[in-house]
Amino acid sequence: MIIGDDDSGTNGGQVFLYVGNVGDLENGEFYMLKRSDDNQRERDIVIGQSYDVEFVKVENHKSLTGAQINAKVDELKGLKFGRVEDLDYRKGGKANSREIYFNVTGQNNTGANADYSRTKFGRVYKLMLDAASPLKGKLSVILDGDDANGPAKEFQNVDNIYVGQNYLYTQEDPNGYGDNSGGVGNNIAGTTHDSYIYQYNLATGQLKKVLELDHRRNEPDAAKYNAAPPAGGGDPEPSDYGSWEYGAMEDISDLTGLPNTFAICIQPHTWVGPQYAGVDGGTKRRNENQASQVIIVKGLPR
Amino acid sequence: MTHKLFLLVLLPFVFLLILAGLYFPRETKKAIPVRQVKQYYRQHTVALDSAVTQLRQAVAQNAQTTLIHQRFREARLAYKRVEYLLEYYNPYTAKHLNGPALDEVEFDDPLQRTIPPEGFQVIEEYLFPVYDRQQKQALLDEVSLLASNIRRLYYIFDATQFTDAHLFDAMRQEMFRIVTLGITGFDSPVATYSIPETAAALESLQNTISLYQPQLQGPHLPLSAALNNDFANSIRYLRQHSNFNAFDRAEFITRFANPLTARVKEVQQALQIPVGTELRAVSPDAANLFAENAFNVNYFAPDYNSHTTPERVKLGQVLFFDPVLSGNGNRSCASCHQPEKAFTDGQSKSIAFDFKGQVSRNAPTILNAGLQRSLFHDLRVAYLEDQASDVIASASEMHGDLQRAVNDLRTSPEYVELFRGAFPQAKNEPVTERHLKVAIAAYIRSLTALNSRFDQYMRGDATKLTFILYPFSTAPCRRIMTKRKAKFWAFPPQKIQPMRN
Repeated sequence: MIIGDDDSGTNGGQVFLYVGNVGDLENGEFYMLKRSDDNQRERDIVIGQSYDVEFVKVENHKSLTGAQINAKVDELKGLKFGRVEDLDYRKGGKANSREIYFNVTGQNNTGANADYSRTKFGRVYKLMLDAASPLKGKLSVILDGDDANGPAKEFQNVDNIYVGQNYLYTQEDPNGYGDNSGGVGNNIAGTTHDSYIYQYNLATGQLKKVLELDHRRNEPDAAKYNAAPPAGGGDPEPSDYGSWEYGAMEDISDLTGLPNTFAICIQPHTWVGPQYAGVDGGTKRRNENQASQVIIVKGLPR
Repeated sequence: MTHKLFLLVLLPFVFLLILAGLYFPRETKKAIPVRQVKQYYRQHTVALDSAVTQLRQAVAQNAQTTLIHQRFREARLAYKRVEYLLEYYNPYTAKHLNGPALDEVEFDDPLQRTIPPEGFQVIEEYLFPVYDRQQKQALLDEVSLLASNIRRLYYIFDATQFTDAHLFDAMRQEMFRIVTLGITGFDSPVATYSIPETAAALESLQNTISLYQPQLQGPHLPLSAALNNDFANSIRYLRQHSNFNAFDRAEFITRFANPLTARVKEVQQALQIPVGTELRAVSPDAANLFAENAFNVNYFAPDYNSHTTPERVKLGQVLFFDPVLSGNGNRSCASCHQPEKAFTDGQSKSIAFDFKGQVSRNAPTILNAGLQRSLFHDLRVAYLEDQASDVIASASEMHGDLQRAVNDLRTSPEYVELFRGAFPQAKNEPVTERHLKVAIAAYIRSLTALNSRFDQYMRGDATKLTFILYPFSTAPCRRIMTKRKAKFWAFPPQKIQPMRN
């Protein structure tokens, strides 16, 4: 089992591996991803190169608190990514299953990342596990949002990832720091587009945009979808570029019997209204008043 | 059945029991405290849950304010009985139960949404100093929220293994928490019930450590007696001085809390229970919160590779006084951070680069800056390494260029030697921008010393504060630790840590 750590603090986010017998979540072993040369800095990994990595064991993990495991990162020379948001493996079985892809969503280059040692706009990594041992592998960055001349130069913090047999889909999130051109509203120094889903061809490396969220800013029903007041209060204004996000993208082809069919979750953050508040009757976050959608998209090759 | 026959039937079992008693290895005996504490945690969480239910009922049934207040205090006492375990094993839940009543914005939230606080401190503001019954529904909602957060614990009890080392660590952290958040009223700012709460917290520690008393035999018997005394005396003092406003914090810390914290460590060592070695702001092996070297500057460094060594401090010191880092070769870090002025320049606003006016603020001291979690007035960087490079690059301050400085330094054999000594693991060129920043940061981290008269006083030298304060005040010197001042002392501004989604 491979999991990611969405941490932007001193220790950054790690990629962890749990190894146990099938179905055994009690007696397995716990590992942390590191480079074989001990370099912990994410952006020392550059496009076009492949790096030897290994999973180093976290001893006695069951009797460690979360804080103690976090404190192991430097000791074990774990790689410090700028928030590992999501991981997936290549479908198709056999060797494909050893091919892991993950999104590092990025964090602003202030605070713990003031030296810009971690990604700011997001990256997609490929981790090829060794055939003989899952504890060794090769790591490479295949899409780099901080490379102003690369194919991923428009990246705004890719968050969720889906990997099929032939294609990978990576989905954008908002950030608080934009890139360089103004947004629509005036809360966020914006990006130039609303959140995309990109399709990446695993064989050719070709990157294509296949979906963009439509905030309906200039439609007759604009007020419905752009109803959130700005951060400081006041009248609602058109939402910022890129301020909506995707939550997940799941392959439902087998469930529906329709090939190449996906369920995609959308969080339209400015589509708000009192009718959406507290609808589940729970005690938590009763004032949360945001609508959301699950849409079905057909015809995206896997 | 005759008595004789009964005894005959019973005998093999008695024999078996005796055998079992002889046979059970020492480890099993030793595992008893851990198992019992886990049981204690579970039982007292149930007690906390029911105390909160009682509070909710009192509010729902429009009980008299005195009863509602009483129920609130009982619920907080119940919380204090599990606080040390909750904060240690379930810090995320602990924050929802007793975090500050302040709105929060997550560092990484692009939409900068305000997250309202939850828990006791929110409820407290509805109830104290006066309960406004117009707010009943909102109050009920908050109490329900508290109850649902407590119930989260039922699902996670089994997830973590308790160890002896954890329990001692958790107890000692609770002592630090008592000194900073407890007796100061910081975690209960309006209800003024913090002193009895502190007694409840101490009793929970006493309860836990008493499970280890049977292991303190032979040469450790005097220690066992001293431990009993320390707890009994501390708790008695709290019981006898329960008035929040009149409570003498300095006396409590110096006479009771500090010695007790050290005593718990002494017991831990006597029992050969390992003391943690991980990097923390307050070292796991600090005798107490005011001990010398209690705080570890390396915790505030970006990573292991940036930890302080004498060679790095030496190199950093040379760089600090060398104008090579500035754009015109005329000023150094020390131009504005002058050692003889406590590493300031004594100006209300510092003189700008090349004497072109002033910068917009003054140069703060760098003494103890190594213990700051964030730097600059807007907290924009987390590490001294980045603070140094920002100032060097700033056009109105040093107007320098790190790469150019590195090129210059590479031509100096003396510097190359110093860099090589400071970064022996560097395979190729030791003079790099990164190493330059690390060395300056190491020098600043070396300027850490908590040795003021206040610190000396808190370490037990009672003459230190008397001497300072008597000329200015007829009040006893210890009054410096009244609640408000203690708050300022204990809490430098901090940026809220990001939470995980």
